[in-house]
Amino acid sequence: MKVDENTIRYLAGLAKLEFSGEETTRLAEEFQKIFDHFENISGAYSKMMDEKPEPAWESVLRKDEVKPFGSRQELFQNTKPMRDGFLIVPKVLEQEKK
Amino acid sequence: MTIDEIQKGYRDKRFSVREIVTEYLERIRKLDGTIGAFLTVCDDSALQKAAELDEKRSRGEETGPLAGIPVAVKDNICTRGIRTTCASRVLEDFIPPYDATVVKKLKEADAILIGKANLDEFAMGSSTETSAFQTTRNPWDITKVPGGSSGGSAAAVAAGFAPLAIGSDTGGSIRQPSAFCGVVGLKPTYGSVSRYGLVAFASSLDQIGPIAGNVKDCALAFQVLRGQDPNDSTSMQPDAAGMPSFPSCLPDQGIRGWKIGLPRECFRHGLHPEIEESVRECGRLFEKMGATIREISLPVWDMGMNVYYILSSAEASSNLARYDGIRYGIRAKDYNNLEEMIVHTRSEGFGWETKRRILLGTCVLSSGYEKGYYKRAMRLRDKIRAAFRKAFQEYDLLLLPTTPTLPFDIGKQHSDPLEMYLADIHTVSMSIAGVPALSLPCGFSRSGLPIGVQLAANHFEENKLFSAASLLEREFGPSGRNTPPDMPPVGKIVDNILTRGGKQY
Repeated sequence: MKVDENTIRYLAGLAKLEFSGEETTRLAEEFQKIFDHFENISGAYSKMMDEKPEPAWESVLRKDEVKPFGSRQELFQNTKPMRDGFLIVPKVLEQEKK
Repeated sequence: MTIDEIQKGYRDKRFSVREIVTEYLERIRKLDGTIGAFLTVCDDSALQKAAELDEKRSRGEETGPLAGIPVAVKDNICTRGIRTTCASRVLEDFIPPYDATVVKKLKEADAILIGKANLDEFAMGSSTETSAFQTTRNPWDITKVPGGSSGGSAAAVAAGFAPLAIGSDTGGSIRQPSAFCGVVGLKPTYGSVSRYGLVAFASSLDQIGPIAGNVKDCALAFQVLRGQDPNDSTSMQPDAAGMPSFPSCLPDQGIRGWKIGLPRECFRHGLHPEIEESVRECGRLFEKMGATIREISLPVWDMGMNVYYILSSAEASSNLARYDGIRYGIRAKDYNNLEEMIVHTRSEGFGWETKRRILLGTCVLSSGYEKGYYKRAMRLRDKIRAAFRKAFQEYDLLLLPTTPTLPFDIGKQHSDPLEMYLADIHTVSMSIAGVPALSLPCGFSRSGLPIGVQLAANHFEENKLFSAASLLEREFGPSGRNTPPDMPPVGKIVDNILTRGGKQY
């Protein structure tokens, strides 16, 4: 895989992160080294094309039951600013400028 | 001090729980400025719990199996009412409203939470240097790293700040720091200990386990921690999975007739010669005890590290998407809209290594690369599991080094990600296979640094690990009795109590 600064910028957008120009250059170089190292999985994988996949593990789920949490104050102690029981966040929908 | 020694002291009324806890807190206060093992020390709650236990004992009430034992808990494990940061700015003000299942179990066993231990940010790292708050130093040589990511937990035990610590291991994060700090650390079988309340890094690999000064304490703590939990759908019923009920497996039944495999892939270029010699010496000791040692080949070893970094980074990128500044954790101050708020919060809150792993995971899951990397790594995980299954059909145990190197200098590997990732080369494959593995001290290098040897067994065969490890420990001496050269011996804790007035209980 070829990694360049555009790759890093594209991935940063997907991951909701931003990097300076210098950081982007550094990451492109580091990722190139890491992906060069990852190449050995291609050879190993091609040798097992005919092998059957392992059966998937079975998840054991508990009953989906509503349980009271107890202290409402404790539950919301980490939340950001609230009003009337709702979290305050910036506007998501804005009026289109004419 | 060992758990046995402390509990015997309580039984013999040589000291009270409050005195022991006070002395441990005092030792932390005096020495942790140099070591940096703790992010939070729980002075008040620990002393309060100690007083409650003394009361309970004076009334003659029954106490739990870890009664009065101070425990350090890694700071990515939720503790109700006590800050849990994951060593990240993102969670620097996070106070969990609930206890992780393991913390609940420790409390039910009457253990005393003495503090929250430092780690690499979100458990991503092998040196505890990626912590946003402090670098932990190796008690055996403070110019060296303690390993990671459970470096604070391992250093706390090695420095005598607690006889027991809890860590988490995703690709070696209990075993590697245990080896570097000269203590005993167990990564249990995936599914044997509940992950409920462990802040997720890579959910299909994360596992909580104990770190202690000796094998017996490690086994006792595992007995307390393990068990099925309805709050973790990946936790398994140990008895249903064929695990023998506990204390019966500890008194070692000997290993005569056991077959032990030595994977030759671990002994190639890159392994420190003194570590190789120590591990081979363990093999010779096992042979003297009546086991058969055979070199075996596990060709999957070579792809283990790549499979691990692809899968763990993919899961991390997904798990860490929740830190968006909306519900909890920090929120950036400057932004014009929701998108900017999220991007600024994440970019300011996460450290470099965490961002690098999120980006790596985003890449291997992104359209165009998912098939070539993530899906292939998932198939190769099957192959690694199958290789271990086959090995354990023939062998009781695998014997191998825990780390390829001795503890390295602080600051040395931090800048080169590949070099840092290679520190996990001997631990990741067992994580991928989900099998249990234990690291225990097997001597020291000529430079005086601890060397760890690793034992791995089939799923739910921790009992075999404990049996073999306790036999080896007999040869090398329990690490809990060794104190790093520059630190006052842990035994001083009792001396201090007795000389300070010698109040008998």
